Amino acid sequence: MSEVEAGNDPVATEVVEQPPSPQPDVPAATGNMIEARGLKKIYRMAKVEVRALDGVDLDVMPNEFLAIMGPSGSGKSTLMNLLGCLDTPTEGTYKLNGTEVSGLDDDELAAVRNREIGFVFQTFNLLARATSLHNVELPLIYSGVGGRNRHQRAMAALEKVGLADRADHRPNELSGGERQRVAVARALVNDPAIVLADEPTGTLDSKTSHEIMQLLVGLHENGQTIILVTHEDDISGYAHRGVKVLDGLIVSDERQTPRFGKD
Amino acid sequence: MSMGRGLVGEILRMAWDSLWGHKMRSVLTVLGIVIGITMVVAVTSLIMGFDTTITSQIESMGTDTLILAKFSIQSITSGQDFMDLINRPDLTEADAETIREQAATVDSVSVMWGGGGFPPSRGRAWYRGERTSELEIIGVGTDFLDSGDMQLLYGRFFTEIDMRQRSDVLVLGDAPTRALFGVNDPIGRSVRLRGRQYRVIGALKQRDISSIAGEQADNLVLVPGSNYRKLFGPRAGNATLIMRAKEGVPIADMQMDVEGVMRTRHGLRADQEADFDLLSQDSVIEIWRQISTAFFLVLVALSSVALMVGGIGVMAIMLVSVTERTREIGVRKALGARRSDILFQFLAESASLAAAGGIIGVLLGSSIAYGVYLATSFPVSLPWWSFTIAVGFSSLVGIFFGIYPANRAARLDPVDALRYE
Repeated sequence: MSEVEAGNDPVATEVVEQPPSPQPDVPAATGNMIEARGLKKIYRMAKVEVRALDGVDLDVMPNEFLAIMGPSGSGKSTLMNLLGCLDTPTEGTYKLNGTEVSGLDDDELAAVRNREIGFVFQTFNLLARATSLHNVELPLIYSGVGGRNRHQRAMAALEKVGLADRADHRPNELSGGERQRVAVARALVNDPAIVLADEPTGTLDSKTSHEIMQLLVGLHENGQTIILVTHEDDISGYAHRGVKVLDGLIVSDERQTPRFGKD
Repeated sequence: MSMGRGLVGEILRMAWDSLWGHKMRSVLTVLGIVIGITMVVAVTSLIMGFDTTITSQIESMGTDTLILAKFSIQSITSGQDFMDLINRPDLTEADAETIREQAATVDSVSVMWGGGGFPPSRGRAWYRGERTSELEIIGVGTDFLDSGDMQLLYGRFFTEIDMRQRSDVLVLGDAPTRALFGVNDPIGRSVRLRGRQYRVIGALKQRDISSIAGEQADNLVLVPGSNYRKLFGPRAGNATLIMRAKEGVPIADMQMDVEGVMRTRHGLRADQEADFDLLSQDSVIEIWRQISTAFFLVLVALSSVALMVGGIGVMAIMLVSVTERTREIGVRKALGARRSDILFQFLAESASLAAAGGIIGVLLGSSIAYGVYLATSFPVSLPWWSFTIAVGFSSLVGIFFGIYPANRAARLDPVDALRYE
């Protein structure tokens, strides 16, 4: 794998046309997982117009491990919110796993998030009063999976992250790393098209961060498409492709050799 | 868009978690609802019990009996001027005599003076330093026992001679008999009543109707009607007539018959209203219904205010709850919760909160009613439907006042909610 150098012009957006080299055991997928064209997000305050995102094109192929990087205020959070269907663009189109989502209403977006996106947050965002199992079950509850099936799928997801024995624990009985593993299990439980991890190691020490990233690397090796949002170079180094955002624009988009492999 | 089984479970589980997680706050929040429901349940139980008693007392009058009075609760509740009522002609023994002679449908007429009437005629009886509580003093005719539910236990009743001579003799109710003589024979003893010495000639059996305040119904003393005026003066001449219909005569026929006789006696034209009250069992029950209904309406109005206040409390705390859990709402939305899911979650929470208040109110209210029963033997009735209505209604209050906060939660923007610290 060779690094592709993006143009130096900060206004130019780089579109990756070729799929990254997929893992050998993953069948080549057809079509893009993400196809975003001219995404803009403009906030109009009293007299000021803030262009949080000013025309972004992005394609992500299945089983890519993509890192979106940029300093705070760069627009990377806005981009993440749009990619995660938490928000709708002011302008532009966004096709996720074959569905155009830019025109959907709140409830339709909720259904898309539930089905297609697995979120991993910086602060875990587990429900404090719920057990690990219950936290992992939540997306299934909202997609109407009931009874034994739900229980089995949630347990399977907990096993994937190695926390089956912590199913009855509440978040305050778990370490930070364990909490984030539960969150990863929750993100995986509905077999999403994309796992969207927003600064997943932001509150973890470096050793635990590495463990969590290893977990994501493992998922990627099993065919999962992962988008990582981070401002830490160390963390973005696990990804196979790096997208830099600055002032609401993608300023570089390059394939990279992951600096950290699977242990 | 139908809600799965799991979702209902989740909604209820979260409502429970949230309420149980803030026990103290939950209790304080629903205090208004607790008070409102407690009030409704307690007072309903008392009125229902009272109603049963009153109705059975009215029914003890019998379907073949009419009461003729100068005025009664009937004319008072019909809104007539009180002074007009006072100025109606008094009913007398002569009226009773005329009815006996002229009303063919009437089998017997008994006459009484006083006895729950106006003005009240009460007093204590004394015997060798023992005294009774305040007794109802009733002047009666010789055939008083023929109608009504009183029966003689010892001795004899008044005779025509007692009537003519206006004898100072009396018949004691069960309560004063016990109070003055215990288990001893009261017959022939001399008892002082309102400053006069009376000879006890008889004692009544305990009445078998459950009464408003236990022995209140037996707290009476009977004197000859002619003697009654000695006690209360010539102004106390107004009598109440109790008439029983002849075998097989419909009550409506007797009512028309007696009304005709009395209208003629009082010289009323056809277009004039009657200046007396003629009460049947049905009409008395009807009046009682009206009174108790009015009472219920007042109760409903008062408790609505309490429930309103309680509901506003629920709304306030639900707004707090929504704010506190903004982030949780964001997470749930990110994981795929639709607006309606969040809406129902918070509605379930406020409904459970209010329903819990309703249940506490039911328990408190029925305890109060039961306590009143234990303390005073005032009859209470605790119908299960009043509990159902109380809990159901408080849930509705919870839902109503939960709509605004729940809607606010449901409309939160996921991006903002996730960013909320």
